Amino acid sequence: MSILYNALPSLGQVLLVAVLLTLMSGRLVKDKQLHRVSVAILLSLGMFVPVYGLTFAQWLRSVVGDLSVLSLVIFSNILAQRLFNLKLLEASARNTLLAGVALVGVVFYPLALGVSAFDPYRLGYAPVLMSAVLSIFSIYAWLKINRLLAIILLLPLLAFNLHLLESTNLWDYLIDPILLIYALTQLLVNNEFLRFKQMRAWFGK
Amino acid sequence: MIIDSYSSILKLAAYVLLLLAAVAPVVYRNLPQVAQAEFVIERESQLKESQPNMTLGYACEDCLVPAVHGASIIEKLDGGLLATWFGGSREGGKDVVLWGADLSPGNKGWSTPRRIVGPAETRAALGRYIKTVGNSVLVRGAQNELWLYYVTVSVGGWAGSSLNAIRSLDDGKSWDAPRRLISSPFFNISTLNKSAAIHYSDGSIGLPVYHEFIGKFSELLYLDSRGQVSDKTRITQGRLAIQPLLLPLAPQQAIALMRDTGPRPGRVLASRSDDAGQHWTKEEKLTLPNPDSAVAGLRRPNGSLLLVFNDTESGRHSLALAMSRDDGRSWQTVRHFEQAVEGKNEFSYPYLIRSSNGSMHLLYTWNRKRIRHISFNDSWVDGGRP
Repeated sequence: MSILYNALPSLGQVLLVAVLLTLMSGRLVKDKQLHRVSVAILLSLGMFVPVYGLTFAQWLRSVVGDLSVLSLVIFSNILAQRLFNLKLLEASARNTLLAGVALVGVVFYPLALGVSAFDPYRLGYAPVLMSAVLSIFSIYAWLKINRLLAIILLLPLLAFNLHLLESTNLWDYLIDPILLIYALTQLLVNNEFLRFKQMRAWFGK
Repeated sequence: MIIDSYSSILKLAAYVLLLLAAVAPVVYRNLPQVAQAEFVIERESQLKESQPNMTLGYACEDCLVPAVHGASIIEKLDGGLLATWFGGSREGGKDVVLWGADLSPGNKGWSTPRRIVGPAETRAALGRYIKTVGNSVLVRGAQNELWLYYVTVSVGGWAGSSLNAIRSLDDGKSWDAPRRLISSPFFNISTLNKSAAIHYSDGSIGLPVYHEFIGKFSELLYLDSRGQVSDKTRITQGRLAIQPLLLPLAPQQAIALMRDTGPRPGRVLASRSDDAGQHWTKEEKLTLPNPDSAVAGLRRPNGSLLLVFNDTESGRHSLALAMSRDDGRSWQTVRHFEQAVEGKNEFSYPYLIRSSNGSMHLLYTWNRKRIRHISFNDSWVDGGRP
């Protein structure tokens, strides 16, 4: 059980370190093969070589905590694309996902941090309502948008049922501050707020 | 064409199965919760007549380290007492650990302080950097196991706190490996505990906590029999009220008394619940002063409430006992534990319990150097001289 319990947090650490290394070294190493090798070597160091008793990944975990399941999906996509020229997610599905994260995140975090008496984080403890909403979005995505996106929207629920993170709250399987920062950055940098228009079109304006 | 059709049906079937696997367990686990758990209340009874008794002592007089703070206390299964507090070279220092000491039944003196848990053990168990430890709260579980919920900080000050739990199956002699509680979605920071937990009729625990990051507010965490967070409710919002003390008044009613972090002069803040902690009224100021300091208290079997608080506008040099006979609407100061002149004296972070024989035990920080222990009975509270 402890292996299962630690699998997802460990995968999150691997992916986060790998993404950081990939993005940083991508500017220095242009050759794809060399880039993959350098990331693999640095990743091994980051994951296994302790500095003051903890590995780089554990130091990172000390600050950012565990990543959500949707972060794992997005980060896996970044690695596949940057290191292997593979696109796990179609651009439209990725952008829809990031737009959704940004939209939810900018409302969710201030409320969860005490701005109002309403605490949306509480909905994640016995998340019948949240599961219903996620299922409706997933079914809509299956029928109208992208089938992979439909499945991705169910992954946090599956991981929550198996208690694969330390948290007992569904929100922590769905979203995390690192993902929100990444989503906002991507939307701003790529001027992808225009995609909201596309989302509006999908959801019938 | 037929193959395409079969393929589509298979994909749809696989998707439906996945959907069911995702949703059904959540619905199955959470829909049966029809009956709302209630507060466990000590049955109303007359207080026993006895000679007034008040005993002064220290849970640690020689605390082995220069600075101690944030004590907690609980009655052990054998009728003795177990106290914990954090201590080291200074509050927030990297050498700070949680200490514990016992007072065995019949003994007058506390045992020599022993280390319970610190940053090293927590770091090893959690795979994270832990800079320091802080407040702890001892809780008796439904199976008579003992839980210790304590604060750790990885980065920054107390605003960067997270909650952790260790469990003892031998009444505090040994403890399981630390486990982290996730109670905030924002890097899981800024949750602290201070006051005693409350018990629910279904065996779950209500742990009062507070946040000190962007907001300064109070919450109630619900913990199941495995010590996992199963729900939480917000008691206050904004930046005004922390360190809630929860006093159940009836199976559905409770009052939360809180430290005032708002504009001076401060007053003890109160919020009420009529649905076993699910919803809370907006906090209101009581007449009791509060110099931005923690309070402790309990409800006695006759229904009166006791509150230990610093009865000053500023400074923590005086520590008093107030009593309310009308569920916390009006209060009267009945005793003083400390009354020093204003200056460097600090008597703070009180923690009050009532043991099964009716004695009350108060711990508090004594000038950051010692943990004071005062035991007293109902007759002493009600006016008799010891």
